[in-house]
Order: sequence, then C-alpha cells, then structure tokens
Amino acid sequence: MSRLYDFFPRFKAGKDLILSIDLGLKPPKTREPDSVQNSSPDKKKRLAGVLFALFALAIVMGPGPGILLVNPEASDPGAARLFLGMPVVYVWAAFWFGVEALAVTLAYFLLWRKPA
Amino acid sequence: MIFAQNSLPPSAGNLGTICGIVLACYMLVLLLIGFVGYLRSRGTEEDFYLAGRGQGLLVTVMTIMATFFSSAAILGIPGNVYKDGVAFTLFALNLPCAGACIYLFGSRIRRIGRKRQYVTQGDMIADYYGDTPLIRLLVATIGFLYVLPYVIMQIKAGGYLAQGMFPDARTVPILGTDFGMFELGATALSIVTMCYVLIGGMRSVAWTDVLQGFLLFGGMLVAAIATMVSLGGIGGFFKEVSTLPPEALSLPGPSGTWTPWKLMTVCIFASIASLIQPGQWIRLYAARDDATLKKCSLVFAIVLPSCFLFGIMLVALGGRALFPPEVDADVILPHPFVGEFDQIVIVMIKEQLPRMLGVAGVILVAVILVAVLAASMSTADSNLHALSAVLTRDVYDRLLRPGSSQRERAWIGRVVIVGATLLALGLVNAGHDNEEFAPLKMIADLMFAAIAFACQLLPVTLDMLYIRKGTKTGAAAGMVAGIAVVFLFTPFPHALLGDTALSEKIESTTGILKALFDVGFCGFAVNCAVFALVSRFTRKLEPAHRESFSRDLIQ
Repeated sequence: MSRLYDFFPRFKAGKDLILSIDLGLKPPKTREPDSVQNSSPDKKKRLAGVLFALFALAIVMGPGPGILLVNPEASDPGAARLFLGMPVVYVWAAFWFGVEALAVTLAYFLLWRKPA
Repeated sequence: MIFAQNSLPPSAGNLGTICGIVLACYMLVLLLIGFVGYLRSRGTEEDFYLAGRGQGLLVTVMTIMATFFSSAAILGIPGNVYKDGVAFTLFALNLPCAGACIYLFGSRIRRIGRKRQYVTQGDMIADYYGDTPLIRLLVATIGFLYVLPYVIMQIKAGGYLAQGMFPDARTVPILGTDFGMFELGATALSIVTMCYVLIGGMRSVAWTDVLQGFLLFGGMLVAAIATMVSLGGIGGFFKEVSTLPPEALSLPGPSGTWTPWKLMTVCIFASIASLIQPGQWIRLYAARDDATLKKCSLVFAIVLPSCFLFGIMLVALGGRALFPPEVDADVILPHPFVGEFDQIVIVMIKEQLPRMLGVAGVILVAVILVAVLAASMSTADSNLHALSAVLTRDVYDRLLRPGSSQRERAWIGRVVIVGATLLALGLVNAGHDNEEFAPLKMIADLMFAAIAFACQLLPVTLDMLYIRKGTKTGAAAGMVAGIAVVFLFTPFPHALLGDTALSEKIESTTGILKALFDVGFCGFAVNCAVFALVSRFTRKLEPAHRESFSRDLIQ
C-alpha cells in the first residue's frame, strides 16, 4: 500500500490529513521512501547497471536472437509449438514483456525517485 | 463457431445511422474541447506550442501514448499479426523500451527546455552545437520528413474509414460538385482537426488526445474481450489459435519477414525514433515536472504493451484462425471476406459485437470505428502542431524573419497549420481517383521511411544528453550521412538513376539489409560512424559551454 501512496502522494497526504483532523492531531510530515533515504550513489549506480543489463537481456532474449531457443521450426513436424495450450512464441513474448516491465517498475521505485 | 459470413443480424443494418450519430457527437465534443482550450490560452508562442509547460500526469501520459500510435494501432499492427501470425506479437516488446526513454531522455530535455526556453528540438540541438543555420535546417528537414507523410496518411485513413462506416451512402452535391464518402470523410477529419489545433494550440491538442486515447485503448480492449467471448472464452480462443499452420506459429512468419535481428533492431530503434520525433519532443518540454515524466514512463511501459499483447493482437490472431489468409503463387493474400489485411479488426468486431449484444453491440462497433478515427486524428493533430512549430521557429524565425515577436510567430504558426491542412487535403483528394498521382505516391513511399528519418536524430540526442564529445561539424556530417542512407532505401534512387547498373546494385544491397535489420538502424550505424570520425578531427565545443549545458540538463 505504501508503494501505492508513493505513486499517488496526494492520496496519502489526503488520508493522513483526514486522520489527523479526526484525531485532533497535527498533520504528519511527509517523508521520502526508505529505498531513497538509504541508497548511496554507488549503490544506485550498481542497481542502475543491473537493471539496464536486465532490460537489455529482455530485448535480446525476447524479440532478439534469444527467441531461437524456443522458436519451433515450421518444417519440423515434431517441434513443440504450444506451451500450456498457447503458442510458445506468444508465451515467450509475454514472459519477456513481464521482465521489461519489472525492470522499469524497479527503476521507478528504487532509482528514479529522489528527494525533491 | 458463431460466424456465418455476410449475415449480420438485423440490428447491424442500423450501423450507418448509429455511426453517424456517434461520429457527430464525437466531432462536437472535440470542437468543444478545442474551444475550452482557446478560452484558457494566453496568446503567447510558448502557450500555443507548450501549453505553458504545465501539463500534468493524465494529460502527459495520454497525449504521449495517443501520439505514439496512429491508426496503425487498430489497423496496421493487427493487420501484420493477421498476415504473419504470432511472430509479430514480439513487436509489442518495443513499447517498454520507448517507455523507459520517456524518463531517461525526457527528464533532461524538459529541465533544460524550461531553463533555456526551448520550444522545438531544433532550438536545443542548435543551441548545443552552435546556433548555425545548417544544424537547424538539418533538424527541421528530419522533422519535416517525419511529420508531413504522417499528416497526409492520417487524412487519407479518415477518408477510407468514412467509406467503411457509410458504405451505402450516396454522393453529396456541394456547390455543384458531387462529393463521395471518401472526400467528405477526409475533409471532415482535416477541417475539425485543423479547427481545434488552430484555436487552442497544444492545450486543445493534448486535451483531445486524452479523449482519443481513452477511446483508442477502450476500443482495443473491448475488441479483444468480444473476440474471446465469441470463441468460447480463453480456452476456446487458444484452441482455435492452436490450429494455425506451423509457419504462423513460428518466426520468421509466413511472409519470412520477421527474423530475430530485424525484430530486435525494430524494437530498439523504431521505438526510440518514435519518441524523439518533433511532436513527442514538444510533449517532453510541455510536462509540468520530472515526477510527471517518471510516472508517465512507468504507465507507458506497462499499459500500452498490455493493450497490444493482451488486447488487439489477440483479435488478429483469432481472425487468422477464423479467416485464414490464402497463398497464391507464394504471395499471401487476405481471406476474401476480410478484403485487406488492415481490416481484420473491423471485420471481427462488425461480425461479433452486434451478434453478441444486439443494438448495444452496434453502438460499440460504432464507438470502436470512431476510436480508429480518433487514433488517426490524435496523430494528425500532434504532427500538424509540430510541423507548425518546426516551420515557424526553425525556418521563419531563424532564416526568413529573425527577431519576429512571439505573437507574430504564434500567428504564423496558425497560417502554417491552415496551409499544411489544405495542401494535405488537396493532395489526398487529387490522389484518390488517380492511383498514379505522383506527389501522393511519393509521400506514401516516404511514409515507410518516416521513422527511419527520425532515427537520425538519435546520435545527436545521445551525445547532447549523455556523452558530450561530438562537434558541430561531426553532428552535421552524421545527420547528412544518416539521411542519405535512409533515402537509399526509398524508391528515390531508382527514380533518379533509372534502370542502371548502379540503381540495381543499390536496390539489391538495400534489399538484403532491409531483410536483416530495421532501416533506421542502418542509417543510425552510418550516422554514428561518420559523427564519431568527423568529431575526432574537428574543433571541439568550448568546455565551459559543455559544462553549463550539462549543468542545466541535470539540475
């Protein structure tokens, strides 16, 4: 939930404000997520490298030459064309899309957000 | 299976009337949004082109996504899946790449754009490499080569869509001339688009993009759900898809086009090129702050590919199972009932929705058809607006009338919009009855290379934003080399050289390269090599200039 509030800070500010009014308290101060507070520039650089490598891997493995690992030859009658009832190439595309999306999501939450 | 060809339910007979009502409402709403945009405008050039640099998350996300895809989103891309089977679904993996670049490029472009009051990409590139007319002209030429074919082709798509919506409509006499549905559709699309761009500038364009974006993505998902339901749910759908012939379930697909290297280079270079084209670059300047672009990047990278991979591409796969294309002398032809590859989604929804939902289905079909129109209009308006910015800022203000006032440039921008719309409309209508009409044919040829031309801005963009080792001469030489290489892939060398040995050699070499790689990548590789080589031997930019530029990019 806290991640959701990171994405929509106004929601969190609104909720905290309503709570504080209800309880008769002073509105709380907002604070940066722990991932940002604790990360040093070196750590961030390393993480950026890892996420870039993960994204590049998804591009090479998904639409790139990596697809040849699972691509069923059209001329081979025994080739496995389906995986769990779905075309294996489609499942491969969906999987590597998931990896790309994960890399961008991690970058957003762990790298791109920084103190204002 | 529920399909019975050419036998739509009685409610489908109302399609023309319902389409007319939905279309009229849609056009009125667009004009209304345009007018509200006008009421909020401040009359300055910055406001006209960048909406005061204050666009929030929703508007930024939707305008970038709607501009990214033209009518290709519902027509062209599913058409490719219908033709080449599952191989083309891998194309959806280009979108997270573009999404990531919205932040990686966009935040730096926005920061320096705000600090130094840039409006076009030419402003930024020329400022960094020394404000020479050559650099500005080269950037403007690349922008022009990207934008113009897009505007013209979207207007043409509007004409064809009107024909499809009202197939039985008769010609309408106006001022003694009979106009068919094609001419009326193209004219309506261009005039309405021109009006709201003209009166409200970026604000109207972006606000209408929000509506058009919702229509586009809603249409993509509704079409997918309808296809799934009609084929008996997810299990039934994939059972049908599993019956596709082996070549449609593997790479390089039945046409042999989609080799892994080609797909990979398309996914990297075409997606980034589509993000650094003039219209998108302006949108990056217009974002309110870094946080907006960061969130936009995340939403784009997840939502847009999902709409394709789990939405519209499945409709086309279902269509391939139900209406298998035919092969005649090694040429793949669409099923006779489908008519054209691009029509597969239209055929599927026209068949399915009225049957499933009756009158409500007919209304949904009308809404999806309007969504296709929305896709065309969202691309046409953004490109028209960008063309106006490029010609006004980079050509009029710098070369024709230096020192003109902001208000004057805003008005010249409006004149460009009217002129470009009327010119495009004239060309489309003139070319409709004459397939050999040379100017339109030439522009249609350029359309296929438009993204490849935009890709030639990538080396200078990377250098400016991250590397900062290139020189002014290197940048100019690289861009000239890149543009020249992309031109070799168009029919122009053959038109210039005729049936000579040299032209044949060029054709065969580019044919081999085109089969292996994305055209933009070929130009990019030569562009980078020339840029690096020339930069090594020419005068470097002042270190102080580079440092101050770098500071403004980061802070």
